[in-house]
Amino acid sequence: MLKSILFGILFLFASHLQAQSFIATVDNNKISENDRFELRFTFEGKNLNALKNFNPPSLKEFRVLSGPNQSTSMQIINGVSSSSLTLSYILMPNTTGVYTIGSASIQYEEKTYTTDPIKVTIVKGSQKPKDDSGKQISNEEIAKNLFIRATIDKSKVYLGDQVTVTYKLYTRLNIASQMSVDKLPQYQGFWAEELETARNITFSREVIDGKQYNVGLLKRAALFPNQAGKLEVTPFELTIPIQVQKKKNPNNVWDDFFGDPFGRAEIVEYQAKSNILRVEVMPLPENNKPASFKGAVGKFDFSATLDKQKTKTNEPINLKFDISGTGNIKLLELPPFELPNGFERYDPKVDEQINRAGKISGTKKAEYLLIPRVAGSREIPPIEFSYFDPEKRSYQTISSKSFTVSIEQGQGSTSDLANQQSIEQLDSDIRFIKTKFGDVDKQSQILLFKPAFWIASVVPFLASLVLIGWKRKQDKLSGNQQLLRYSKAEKVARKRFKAAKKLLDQNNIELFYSEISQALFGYLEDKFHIPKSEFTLDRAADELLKRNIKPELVEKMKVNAQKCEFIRFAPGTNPSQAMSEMYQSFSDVVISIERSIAK
Amino acid sequence: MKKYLLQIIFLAIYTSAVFANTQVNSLMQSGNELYKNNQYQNAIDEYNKLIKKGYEGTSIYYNLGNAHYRLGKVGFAILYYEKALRFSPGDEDAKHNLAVAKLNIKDKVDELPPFFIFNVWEGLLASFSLSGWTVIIYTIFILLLLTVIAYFFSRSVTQQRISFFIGVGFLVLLFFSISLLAVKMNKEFNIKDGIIVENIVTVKSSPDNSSKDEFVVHEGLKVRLEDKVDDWVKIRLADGKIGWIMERSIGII
Repeated sequence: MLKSILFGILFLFASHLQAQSFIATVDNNKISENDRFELRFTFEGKNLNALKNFNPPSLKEFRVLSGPNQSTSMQIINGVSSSSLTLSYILMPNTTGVYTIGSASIQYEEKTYTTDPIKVTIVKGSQKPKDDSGKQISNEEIAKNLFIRATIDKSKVYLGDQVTVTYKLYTRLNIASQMSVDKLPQYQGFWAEELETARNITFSREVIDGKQYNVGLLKRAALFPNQAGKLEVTPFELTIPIQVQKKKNPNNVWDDFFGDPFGRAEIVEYQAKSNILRVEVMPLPENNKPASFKGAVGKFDFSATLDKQKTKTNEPINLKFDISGTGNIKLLELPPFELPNGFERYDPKVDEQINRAGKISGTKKAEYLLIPRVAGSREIPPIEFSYFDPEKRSYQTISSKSFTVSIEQGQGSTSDLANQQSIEQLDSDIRFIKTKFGDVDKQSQILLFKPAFWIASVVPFLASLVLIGWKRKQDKLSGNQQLLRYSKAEKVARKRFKAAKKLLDQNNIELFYSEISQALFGYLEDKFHIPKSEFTLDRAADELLKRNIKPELVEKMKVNAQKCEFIRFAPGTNPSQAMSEMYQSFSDVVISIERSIAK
Repeated sequence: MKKYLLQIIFLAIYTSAVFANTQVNSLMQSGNELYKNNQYQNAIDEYNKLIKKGYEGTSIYYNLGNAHYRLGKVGFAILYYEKALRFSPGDEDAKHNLAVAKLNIKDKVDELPPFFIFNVWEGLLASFSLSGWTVIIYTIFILLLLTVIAYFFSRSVTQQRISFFIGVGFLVLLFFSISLLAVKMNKEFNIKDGIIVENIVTVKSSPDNSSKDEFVVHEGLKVRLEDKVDDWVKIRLADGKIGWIMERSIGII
């Protein structure tokens, strides 16, 4: 808390009494529960370097906020020099009651100095210690001489219109040093824009109620309400250190002793608070609100320009918007505009310049890049910008002229610039509803799970099985196994030939001829449906001739068959050669017959 | 050509049912009248009456989609177009309107470009509905039976040979389309897609209101449904993001 005693002077006095001293002091021995106080141990002597082993007392009953903080000083008074070392603690009591701060000790040149214990009384609440009451000037007194006043230029505004709020410091007291901000005002419901103020506060003089004040501008802000109704601005809170003339305190021995000849002042930290501001925000009138109105309030000028009237496809053109005037430039929405088909629009490049002196004003420039994709002449319809003029209490609309652009077919395909999406080719609207609804039916089971489906699949399957079975039975009954045998004939013949080849290699003459003749005759029997019992060579030849097989081939078959019968019983001189010749000619015959039938 | 054939088969199957049902006609017609008079909400009510009675079909969902689109409910519009396409995947109008409605989706989810074979496969699957595939399989099956019978009844080798090869061809086709049907059925029954129907939905990390917000999705986005706990459903986005949302903010296709 407030330190009312200047210790340096206190201990200067002490130094007169003895060369070395070690004293414990508190700045206040009656402390309210929530206040902090300072405990100091001051040693005075000639040679501070000889100090060692500082042993502080137990400070269990208190909370140590900071410390030990060390400071040294040196003074020469009346030719006597003395130096002092101070170890200080900032303490805060835990509970109420009377506590004794024990002794501290320190060694100086082989000698130990101790302090006397100090009694402190902790009282409840923020009750001021008795000692203080006399020497402090009251807050009310300060408030009369120092205050912050917040003013607004108008208390009733339209939504989005600027209200300027000004914070001024009025003072008749001396401000000791830099003030610190405790709480900035809260602009709830507003868009706030800080206005420019001088960096250092310069004071001017102003007379209020016959009293002269120094007035300094603290802060200015432009507020744009963004909701209708009664809005409040919370106070601006500052801590201001002020110099206060110290009052005489009859209880203080030291004051009496020194008489305070130089107008000793003390510094009081005063918490100043501005008044609460109330603004009534009116909603914008609903009637005559233009369609192009996007919330701009103030006074604006609008122009739109197109950089080129002629271009080629895929060569960009720039559409520039220029909005200037007073109002909330930052929140200004760009006027919407329609583009004819065949243009591609990119996000605009926006540039703002805001002048923050007094009324917020400035310019907003936007540049749209448009790329024509289709050749031909196109018209961009006029672009409208609307704002509400609070002075005239009416909506104003500024309209640009329409732009005609003629686009020639340029180089390059459409696809090489940006990604043209298939979206563009689609119609922008949905197609008409369906007027035929033959497909609407009771929610039904999936076809696959319907028994009818399975019946419909199984029945034809079974039916075909039955049909095939019947057919085969029928064939058997009519002795018509021809088909079966017909298809088997070739296979059987091949098998026999294979066996014959084996026998040929083994040089088994007897079996070879029987096998090879079986191959031929079996083939002919099967192929031409001749029962084994009825088979003769002539019968086979007849059948062959019936099937339009060349007579030469038939003859060859006959000759070979006879030759085979002959050799079989009367093998010649060179049986193995005859065998291989026979094998060759027999297989030739079968292959030839097979070929001519397949034809 | 295939499409017409299919339609003819469909018609043959459903003709009797349709002519018997005058209720469908009257409700659909009154719904369409209301739509023409721009009374979209009333038209929706009318169509919904039919659905409540257990009716369904491409045209009813398509018209519902249109009515919702006109009311600006893009999420529902997309949902119903998807439903319509589920019935007849080749419907041009529904495809077109779905594309138009999708222009209004705010979210852009980057899908991994699928491998081209999958594209072909997906396209093949999507070309017919479940019933469509069933009808195709049935047709092939009957044709196969016919060729088998022809094989046994054939009088000459060439006839037999031809019917044999045709039969093998049909068998291969049959197996192929059965496997397609199996895949499609698995898709229909096990994989559920949904459309976000609420304007803005915050997706949570777990099925609990107090859990962390994962991301935000907007109306019209198609998501895959993976799980369900009480009123919450687990969704998966095309780019793999996963989260939980309330069931009411989604419509299942």
